[in-house]
Order: sequence, then structure tokens, then C-alpha cells
Amino acid sequence: MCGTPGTQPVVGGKDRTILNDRSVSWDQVTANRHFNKLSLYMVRMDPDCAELLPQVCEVLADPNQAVPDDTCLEKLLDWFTVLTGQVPAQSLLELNPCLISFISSVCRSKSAESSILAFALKLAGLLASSEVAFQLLKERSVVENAFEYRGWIESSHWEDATVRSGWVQGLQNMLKHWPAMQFMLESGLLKAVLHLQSDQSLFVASATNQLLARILTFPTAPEGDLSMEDACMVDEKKEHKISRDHDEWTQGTGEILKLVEESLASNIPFRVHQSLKLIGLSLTHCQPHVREVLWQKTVEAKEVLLRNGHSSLTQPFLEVLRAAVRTFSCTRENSSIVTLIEDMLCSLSPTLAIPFATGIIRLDNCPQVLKDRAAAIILQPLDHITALVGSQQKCSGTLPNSDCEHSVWEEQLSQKSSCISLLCLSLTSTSELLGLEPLRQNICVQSVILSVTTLLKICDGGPIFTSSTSHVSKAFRKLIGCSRVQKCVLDTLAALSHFPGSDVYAEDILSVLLLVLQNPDTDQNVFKKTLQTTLGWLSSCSQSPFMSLFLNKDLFPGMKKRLCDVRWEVRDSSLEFLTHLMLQFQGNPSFCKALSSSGICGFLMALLIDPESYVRASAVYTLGQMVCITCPEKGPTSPLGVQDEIFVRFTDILAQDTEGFARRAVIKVFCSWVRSPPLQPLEKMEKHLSTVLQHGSHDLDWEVKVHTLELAQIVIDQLLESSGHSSCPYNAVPSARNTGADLAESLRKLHRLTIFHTLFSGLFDCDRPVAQQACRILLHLKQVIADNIDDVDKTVLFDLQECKWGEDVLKKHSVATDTRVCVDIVELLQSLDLEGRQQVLDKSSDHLENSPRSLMQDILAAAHTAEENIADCY
Amino acid sequence: MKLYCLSGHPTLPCNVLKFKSTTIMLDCGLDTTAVLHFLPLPLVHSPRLSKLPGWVSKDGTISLEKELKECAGRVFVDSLPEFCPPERELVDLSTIDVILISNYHCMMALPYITEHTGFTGTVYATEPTLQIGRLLMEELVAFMERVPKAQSATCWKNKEIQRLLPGPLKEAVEVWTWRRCYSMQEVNSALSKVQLVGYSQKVELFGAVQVTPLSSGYALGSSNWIIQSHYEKVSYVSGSSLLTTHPQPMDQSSLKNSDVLILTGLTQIPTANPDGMLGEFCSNLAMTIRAGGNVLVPCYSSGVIYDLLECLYQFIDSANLASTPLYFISPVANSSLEFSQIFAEWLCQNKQSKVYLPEPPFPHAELIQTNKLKHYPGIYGDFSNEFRQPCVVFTGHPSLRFGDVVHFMELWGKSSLNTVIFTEPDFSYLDALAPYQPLAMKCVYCPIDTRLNFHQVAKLLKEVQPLHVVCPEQYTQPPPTQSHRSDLMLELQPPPMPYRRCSVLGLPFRRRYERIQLLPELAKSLVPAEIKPGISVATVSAVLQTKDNKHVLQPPPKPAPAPPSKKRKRVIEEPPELMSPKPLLSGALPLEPFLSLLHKHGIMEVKVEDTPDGHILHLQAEDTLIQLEEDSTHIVCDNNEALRATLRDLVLRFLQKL
Repeated sequence: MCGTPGTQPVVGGKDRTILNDRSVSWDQVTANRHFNKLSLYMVRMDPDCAELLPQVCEVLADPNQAVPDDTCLEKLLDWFTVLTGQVPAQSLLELNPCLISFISSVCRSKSAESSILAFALKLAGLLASSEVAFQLLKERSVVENAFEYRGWIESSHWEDATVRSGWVQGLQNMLKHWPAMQFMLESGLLKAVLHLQSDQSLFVASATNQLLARILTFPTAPEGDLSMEDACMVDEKKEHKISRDHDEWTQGTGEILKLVEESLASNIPFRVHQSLKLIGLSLTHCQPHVREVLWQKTVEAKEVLLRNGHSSLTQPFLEVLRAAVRTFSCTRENSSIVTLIEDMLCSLSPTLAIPFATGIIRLDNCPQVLKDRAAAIILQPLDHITALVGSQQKCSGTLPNSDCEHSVWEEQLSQKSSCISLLCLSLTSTSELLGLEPLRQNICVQSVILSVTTLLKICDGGPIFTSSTSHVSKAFRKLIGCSRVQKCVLDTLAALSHFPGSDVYAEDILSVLLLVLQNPDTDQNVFKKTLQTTLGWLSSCSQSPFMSLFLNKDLFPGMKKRLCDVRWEVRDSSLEFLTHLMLQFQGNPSFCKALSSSGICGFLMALLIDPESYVRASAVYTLGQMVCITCPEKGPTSPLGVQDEIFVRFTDILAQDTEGFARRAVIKVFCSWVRSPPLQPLEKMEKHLSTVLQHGSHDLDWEVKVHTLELAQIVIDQLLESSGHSSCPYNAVPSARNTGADLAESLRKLHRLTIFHTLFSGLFDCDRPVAQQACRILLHLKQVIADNIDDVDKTVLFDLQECKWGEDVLKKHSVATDTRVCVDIVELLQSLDLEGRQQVLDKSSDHLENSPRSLMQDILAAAHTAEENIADCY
Repeated sequence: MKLYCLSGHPTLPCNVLKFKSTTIMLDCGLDTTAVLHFLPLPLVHSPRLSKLPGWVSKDGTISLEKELKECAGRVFVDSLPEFCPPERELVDLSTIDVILISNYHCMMALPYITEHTGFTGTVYATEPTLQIGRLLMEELVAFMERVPKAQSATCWKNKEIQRLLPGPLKEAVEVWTWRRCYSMQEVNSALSKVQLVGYSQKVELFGAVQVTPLSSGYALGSSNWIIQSHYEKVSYVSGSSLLTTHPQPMDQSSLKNSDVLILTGLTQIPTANPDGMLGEFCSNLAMTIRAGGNVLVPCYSSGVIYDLLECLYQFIDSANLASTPLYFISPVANSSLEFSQIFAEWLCQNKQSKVYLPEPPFPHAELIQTNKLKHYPGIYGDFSNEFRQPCVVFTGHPSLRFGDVVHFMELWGKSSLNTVIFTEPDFSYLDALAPYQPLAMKCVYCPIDTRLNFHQVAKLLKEVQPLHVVCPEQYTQPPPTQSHRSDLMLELQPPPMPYRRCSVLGLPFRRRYERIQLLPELAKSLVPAEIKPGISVATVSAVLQTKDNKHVLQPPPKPAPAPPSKKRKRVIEEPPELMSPKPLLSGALPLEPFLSLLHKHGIMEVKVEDTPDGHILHLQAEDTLIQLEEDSTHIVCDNNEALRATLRDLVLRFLQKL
């Protein structure tokens, strides 16, 4: 389907070409208009809000008023953030002087609530983020008032972490331009900030780290993410100029670097942690000389970290290493990074090494040697399995040996809990690895497949032929029935099915998957995943003669049993699988033959009355898809010989099923049938269609009604298309049939199919999505009729007698009803204010509640209520 | 304490425990797998079976055409099926005092033990065990007796001939011990020796040991047994289940602190999870019925069938199979279904509570009421009039060698629409099907064995911590078909003691204590003296009387007062003079104080020599030695009684007297 009806002009091919030729100028015009509209809007905020803002500021500044909850303040701040993105901050300040007085009074106040103080500080920073507004605020001493540290440190408010956090975030909001940076450095605020890096509140400490990172990366940190190469080029050029022009900043960064150095050497875990985080945050975007220093400190810190064995510091250290790889590789091959990372890959515990290795293979600018090493680490547990089954296979292009301590890995693999998590990590990362083009070429797929299938067999309780009596092989016995590992294995197998040339393994893998499918103890989620993986592998070998044998001998008999399974989840997954299988292979003659001779159809019919509604719905989808399968032996007109029976059963479900899922499924299947008629043309389905539309439009479930309207739209589109009035502007027009008579005939047909009833009852439905959908379709119809009004004869009369809404609406829209109960459809469409109704419907029901005006009203109302409550106390 | 193992079958055990002075038989299971070597007994004449060719050896020298028939490449004995009863030569069965039965499947050999063997003891079992066991025996006898077969094949058992037979008949062991089925008279006689017991009821055996049945959670009335004396405890665990099925849950805590735990009756199919199998059973059943076929379920008339029917009760509605008839055919079908409903106190809590509603505890009552389940004693009569297809038939025997199942195998075996679903784990389904080959009907193996698996048993043993575990040797190694599954065996420290048929095990603990009672008047006469804080001792002089394995200390008989007689008493007639016992000494002799005491008494020259056990004091002037050891003191002095007495008195000053 193309476009949304009513929103696109119906244009022919020629007009469209013209439009395309002028597209640049059109875009420009549109952009200009948009800009003008915005700037008009930007001059001031919504008048209602502007009116309420002073009162709100007054309430917030008044220490005697009840403090609104934090959520209100956060929402208010969000609104200001959006506003400062649209309206220049200085005009905001000029037009709303209450803002300056609010910030000044709150920051001076000794009795303001800490949440209000934090809000005011963040707001001050936000407003001062534009250079002009900053100057304005500075002139009015607002900036000094808000951020001057000495005043704060003497105040008792500073004890409150909320205020400290607000102060730091306010500064961070403000630091978007050099004057703000100068202000901060000249006022000696950096010292305070450095102190707050190890604040006892984690929120404050974390925000401070962000602020320090902003200072370190200040001149180069782009607003958006620059590409690495761009960032590096900018670095080189600007560095000299910046250090010359901004001595204070250079000194400031020096102080920060000193703090980092001290912290890393301090041996206090929290301080080391904070500094590592800071390095991780700033390394990529900071100046080259700063970067050199940071990196040098990191390398030195590694010794300390490893010596002291602080496991909590490993993660931030690895973050720094990842940032280093991202940063340095673009300039040169930094051998110290490669060595350090290689060391870390080997010295880390396996459960940390694999996620680290996964992070490395994701990096774009990482040296290949490192990626290969990381890939080897990821595959290490799988190599153990290959070794366990005594495979002597040597693959060409295998990854380098990880050179790591095997005993550590073996120890982890020999304990049940660590074995499971290690295998899952390895398998998940292997799935990712298989999707990375340059890396996967070096992987020995044969070996991975061997280990993964072995693992799946182990989980399934199958034999593994190993002479090893090691602890690892004993631990693997504990994996029997472990669904966590099974799921990861199946994900990896699914990834392997997309591997070029993997189809040669399809037969072996499908036979292992079949074992899992046949095992009655297989968990239902594992069963579902197995089916998905099976689908992937079947697709990879669709041309193989093996597939037909597999379907006939193994898969379909197994599926029939699963369709009778006691667990509804298994029945449901089997149905979903069959639907996907049919979609995938509906053009494959051997598949269609196997399916039609499998006897599955009877089982599917039985599931239409399954006690579980999900299963009924899935059975509807599957049968809906099955109708599209033609049996080569029975001819195209008789798909499995049950089409008519299916139609009847489906309409019964729509009329009688107590649950919405099955009814929705029926409508959706009819949609797909009408959209691409399987075997019967639309005319033959008319009888069923009108029944379906009638039931669907009177359903209690709004989703059924929406889908019914979708069905109506598809029918309308098809009929209009056949009469040359397609709703899709890009459809080629069949000129020979483009006549008004055809349109009139189409309208009569729509009337016969009760589509107008469906649309009008939808239009006045109490569920908004239903009414919206109906309104959209009617608007489109109205447009088509309006475009061809001369050709349409007024012979389609709509009977209003049965419609509850009829009289009211017609009176309201002053359609001359008189004594008539039948109104011409053209007249009815023209007289209804569909455009107005669409506008009303397009607004969400909570559009009022979500507006800033409503937010401010809430704050004011809360304040008043609190006042009343105080009065009540006396 | 010894254990004699009369059966090699791990789930059909028969062991004899000699404990104190009692001889206790633990279960008497009947190994019926021997019937698989025999031809089926058809209820109606089967042309196919009657036309089977007789067996002649390849060289034609041996011809047993009448005894052995060939079918689909295998040789079967054409005779009344025989069973392999427990070993009779290892223990004199007439010496057995009691037989403890753990569940109805483990008592099927009872007539072979109690009849014609001189057995005079008592059999202990719970009421459901007795009643359902009786039904199973009656059914077995009925199956055999309604198809009489005069011929009895024995020639093939000749060792020289058997050696030449094809497998698996060639590998059959102990064929000479195989016996025909017992008669109803023998059943009645055997069961008349049963004495009923309830869970946790303590039964005294000759005052020597106490036996107690505990719920084992496996079947209606199934029990484990505790056999204990005052200082020893043996637990016998047989056929237990931790799953929530119909019986009362297993009592695990009472098994704690056992010296020996005899572990039998674990699941026969450790790789098959009963829930999964139940699911498989249902889906295969539905699949067959939907395709228009019939389902045959060869099963015992009690046990898992209750769970199967309960499962189907829920499933048939959801699978839209409510109109499919379920038939249960057995000579004891009616009794089995009804008995199950009346043993409320033996059921799980959930089912017990239904009785108070009042509702039948098992839903098969509703299936019968609504005519969905119908039961018949046999295929003749009512059944043949009401039989409707497609249907589900539950009938015995699961070996497919006798019973009504033989008829259905012959009837439905030719159509691939039908399915036979094996749920009983006792027989290899491939062996069971062998005389029906070639077979068109589908065969599905869904063994449902709710008994403990190795994972559960490992947890149980960790919990109850027995000192020693005795088990069939099969449990100490992985199953032969899955030798890679090291998790399917018992791995314990110390390792379990394995047994096999005809093993005699000396159980690894020695009895050290025996309880003895003091009569009150004797107790009154005792004068305890405190030798250490909290420890008092007294000397006892009494007469020990032992009767019925109970030991009692009585006051010694008082000397009869001398009768006033002028006659000169004859020395020989005088009662022995009761000497007051010498005081008992306790305490240690401290060296230094002793030396100073000697010094005070003028013994100055004392040379002390250390020995490994104590000291030797050499009184040089007196030429006397005093040997001080931990538990003895010797004074060696020649011809100086006065000195010896002095020294003795000095020593005694340091010791306490009782």
C-alpha cells in the first residue's frame, strides 16, 4: 500500500517528474517557511505559559509554599531545555524577567528547599549556555550569585548532595563557550570541582567527572560526535592556538591531570576508579598533549592495579583501554596499547576477558592483530570442547592460539556455575563474531560447528565420544537439560546458518536439531528457538534433495506430534514455525508436495478449537497461509481441498470465539488474502467478505475493529485501483478503464459489501484508533469522489435508519433529512465535517495533561491546596 | 549382620537380612522378564502363531519343533510362560521369620516363598499393598488359567541344547529355576500369612528388633522400612518417589542416622523424565486418534494407570477427544478402579481432602460416570457389543505375552493407523514386540517410572547421611546402553557396597552395645559415688536374666535363712557364702607427693626410673621395687609382708575407693 490516504496529492507520473526537478527549491521553500514559523513562535513562548510563569516562579521562590515534587521540577527543566533549543535564551530572559529574579532570589535565600535550589542552579546554567544570555546574566550578577563557590561552602545548604549535584550540573550546562570557561577558572571554581570528584555522594562524584571531562575536552569536544579522523585533525591544528590564547584553561587542565596522577597513585580504590572513569570519558576527544599524559598515567597505573588486584577497578580500566584503541589507532599503531591489551586479554579472568574481547572486535579502528587475538579468546571455550571430542581437524586460516593460561580456563569450565556462564558468554560473542565480515574469514567454521553441535548434544543428554576423564568433561555432564546454554547454542547455530558456504553442514546440523525437537524434556522456550534455528538451516539448504527427505521423514511427523503436545506453548510455537516455513517455501514444489501429503492440515483444523486462544489464533494464521500453498497434484484451484471449509470455520470463529486473539487473526488473514488473493479472486470471496466486515465492525475488541477497517481499506483500494482511482499516488493509471462509470460501480460494490456501514460505525466508535482509521479512509474516499464528482451518479443510497448516530449527526451537519432515511453517500460524505473530526481525533486524549501549561497549573494548584490544608489545621 | 541377595533384579528385589537373632526377608519381587522368551498366549485361535515353523538346528541334528518356534528371525518357547522366582538355595526359606513387603509390585513371588518351603513366619504389608497385590496376582493367575496349555517345554533347557540355540534364548540364565505361575489356592494361602501394618507403626520382632514401615511415595500403600535395635538402625529403601503423584509423599526424615541403608528400586529409565513422557503419551495418543487410529496401552491394572487416566481426564477435553471411548480391560479392572477410591488415608493430601467434600479422590470416577471410560473383565461379552473405534484400550499384560493385550496386538497390528504406547518400564518394548513382527502399527515407547532418579537419590543420601549404602551392582556403573552417562550412577563416599544375585554381604558394622534393664529394687540398693564432677559410679551385684532377647538385671537371691534343724549341716549343702566385694579403686598416683610420703615414713633412698608406661621406684635400702603404671601398681618385695602392707597403705591413700 502506498502512502496515507488523504495526505498525498494524487499526481501522475508526469507531474511527479516536475515536482522532482524542482525538489531542491521546494525543500528550500519549505525550510524557509518552517524557519519563519519557528522564529515567529520563538519570539515568545505560548502566551498561556508566559502568563503562568511569573506565578510559578513566585510559588517556587516562596519558601513558605509547598515544594512540588521532584518530578514536576524535572519536567519543568525538560521544558526549558526544549525551549532553549528553540528560543534564544536572551529573548527568553528579556520577555520573562521573572526568571532572573527567581534565580537571584532563590540563590540568595537561606531558607529555600534544596530541591528548589538545585533546580534554580540547573536552570541558571541552562540559560547561561548561550554566550549572549551568559553576558546578560553576568551583568545582572546572576552567574556569580548562583555559582560563586565561597558563598555556597559557607552555607548549610552545601551539606545537601542535591544542591552540590545541582551546582555541578548547572556549571556543566553552562560550559558551552569560552566566557563561561573563563568565568569558572577565574573564579577559582575548579578547585571546588576537583574536590567534588571524590564526593561521598556517587551522583555528585559522577556528575563532577562529567564536568571535568567537559573541561578537558573543551576546545575540541564537538556538540555531536565527530568522526575520529575529523577529531584528530581538529586536535592538531587547534592545540597550539588554544594553549596560546587560554592560559587559564591550560593551567586548569594541568591541575586536573595532576589530580588524576595523584588519584591513580593513591591506592584508594574509589579515587582510582573515578580517575579511570575520567580518563575513559576524555581520552577520545581531548587535546593530543593531554591525551599523551593521560595515557602515560594509565600505563603506569596498570602496574599498580594488577599488583594490588583490585577487581572492582578492572572494568573502568578496560573502558580506558577500549577508548585508547578507538583514539590512538587513527594516528599510529601504538605498540604499547596492543601489548597492554594483549596482556590484559590473557591475564583477565575468562568471564571478564570474553566481554572485553567482544568490545575489541566491535571497534572499527582496531589493529587486525588485536581483533584476531580477541576472537581467539572468544572461541577459547569452544576450542576446549573441540579438544574434548578429540578432533584432529586443522582448519586453514584458523585464528592464532590465544596463548593464555589453559589451566585457568579449564578450572572455570570444570565448575558447573562458571562453566555455564563462560559458555554462554563465549557463544553469544561468537554469534556476534560470525556477523563481522573481515573477522569471520579467519574463523574455522567447521571447528565452531563441531563444538557447538557437540555442546547441543551434551545438553540434550546425548553421548560424546571422548576418552578424556578430565574435570571439564565431568562438568559438562551437568549441562544436560541446561536451557540457558541451549538457547545460546541455538543462537550461534542460527548465526552460522547465514555463513557463506555453511549449507554443506546443513544435514548434520538439522539432524542434531531434530534430536532436540524430538526430546520430550526440551524446555518450551528452547523448543521455540530450535524451530527458529531449524528454519534458518532449512532455508540454507532449500535446493538440496536432502530437504525433501527431511521434511517427509522427520520434520512433518514430528510436527504433527508437537501439534498435539500437552503444553500450549509448544503447540503455538509449532504453528508459528509452520506459518514461517510456508511463507519461506511456498514457491518450492517439493515442499508443497511434502506438506500436502503430510496430513498436517487435519491437525491444524483441530487446533481451531484449541482451549488456548493463542493457539487458536496461531492456527488461524497457519491455515491462512496454508490456503496459499498450491498442491501440484491437485491443481491450483483446490488447495488441499479445504478452502471453503476454512472460510466457514473462520467466519464462525469471528462470530463466536470468546477471545480477541483468534478473531483478530481471522481479520488479519482475510486482509492478507484480499491483498494477494491466494486462489480465488475477490468476487468469489464477496460472500464471506461482507459477513467478515459485519462481524468485525460490531466486535467488542477495538483491535478487531481497526483490522476490519484495514480490510475495508484494502478492498476499497483494490476496487478503486480497478476503476483507475488508486489511493496510491505512484500507481500507474490504467487509462482504458479510468471512467466515472467504473467509480460509480465501485461505490455500489462497496455498498453491497457493507463497507460504508463499517466505515461510519467506525467513525463514531468510542475507541479513538478506530475512529481515526475510519476517518482517514472516509477522507480519502471523499477526496476521490470530489476529484471525480462529475462522473459519479448519485445512486448509492445509505440507509440511516439503522444508525444510532444518523439523526444527531445529520442535524448537526444540517443535512436535509426531512422524512428521508436514505441519504446519498456522496452527499453524506460532503456534509460530514470529516476534516474537523480528524483534527479532534489526532490530538491524543492526554494532550492537555502533557502540556507545559498543565504542568504549571499543577504546580500552582498544589501550592493552593497546601495553603488550604494549612488553613484547615486551625 | 549379613545380607543374602536372592534376586539380581534391582527393582524387583528379594534380600534376606540376618540381624541379631532374626531372619528378615526384604521384599519378594518376581522377575517376569523370562516370559519374553515365550510365544504369546492368544485368547482366540491365531492362525499366524499356529503356523509358525518349528526350530531345527542348522545341521539338522537337533529338532525341537514342538517346543521352539521361529518368528521373524527369533526363537520362542511354545509353552506356558514361566517366571524366574528368587533364589531358593542360598537361604533355608523355612528359617525366615518375617517378610517385609514394600509395594505391591515387590510381592509377586510371595507364593513361591511361603508355599511348600516350610515357611512359618509372618508377612508384613500395608492394606493397599495387600489388596492391590492380591488383584495383580489374581489377574496373573486368570491370564494364565484361561488359556490352558498342556504342553510344557523342558528339553530346550538342557545345557547342551541351550548352548546351541540362537540368542537371546541361548543367553538366558538360570533357566532350570524358572517356574510356572502359581495357582489361586497358593495365592490365597500365601496372602493369609500377611499381617497388616500402618505407616510409622512399630512392630516388635521377638524383642530383638523393631520394624517400621514409612511412606515411600511411589504407589498406594508403598513403604520403606526401618529395622532397628536400640543401638543399630538399618533402612530399607525400595521403590520410592519424590514426585507429586497420587500416593502419600515420601517420609525422608525418618531415614536419617542409619548405620546401613539398603537402596533398591530406583527408576529403570533414568533418562526419561515422567512429566515429559506423560506429555509424549498424550500427544501420541491425540495424534493417532486424530488420524483415525486406535491406541493400545499395555499396562498393569494398578499404579501408573491411575495417573494416566487422570492426565487424560484433563487432556481429552482440551484436545477435543472427549468423544473417544477409553476402555480398561482386565479381570480386576473394576476392583482396581474402586479400590483406588477407598484408600483415602494412603493418598496425597490433595486427594485426601477431596474425600471430605465429598468427592472421589481420583477423577476416573467422573470418566466412568460420563461413560468416557468403560471397564470390562475381558473382551468377551459386554465389551464386544459396545466396542467402538477409534478408541483407547488399556489392558495387560505389559509383556504382550498373555492377557487381553495379545488379542488387540493381533487385531490392530496390521494397520499403520494404530499405535501401541508402552508406558510400563519393566520390559524392553522391542523384545515384547518381537513375536508380532512384521508389525505395521506404530510403536511408541513412553516409559513412565516415577521412582527416584540418580539426581534425586544423591540429594536424598546427602540429606539422610547413612554410614554405609548397599545397592544392586547395576547402580554403581552407568547403564550399559549409555556408558557415557557418568551421572547415571551412584557416586558416594565411602563407595556403596554392590550386590548381585546370590551375593552374601557381611554388613560393615559391629554391634557394640546391648540394652539391659535394672529392676527397681536393685536400682534402689545402689550407692553411687561421684568420682568426677557429674560422674557417679556404683558397683552392682546382680543376676542377669535373658528372655525373648530382653536382658534384665535382678537382685541376687538372698541366702535362705538357715532352717532350724538340729541335724548337722552337710558342708556340701551350704549355700555359697556371699563375700562382700572388694572395694574398687580409682584415681592416679602422683609421683612427687608419693615420694614425699615415703620420705615421711622413713624411706629415704628412692631411685626413680622412667619407663614408657610410668615409673619404677627402687627402694634401695629395703631392696624393694614399686612399679607405677597407668592402670596398675605393683609392689615387689620379698619376704617382708609388713613393708608390703605399709607400702600398699601408702599407695591406697592416693586412690579413691568404691
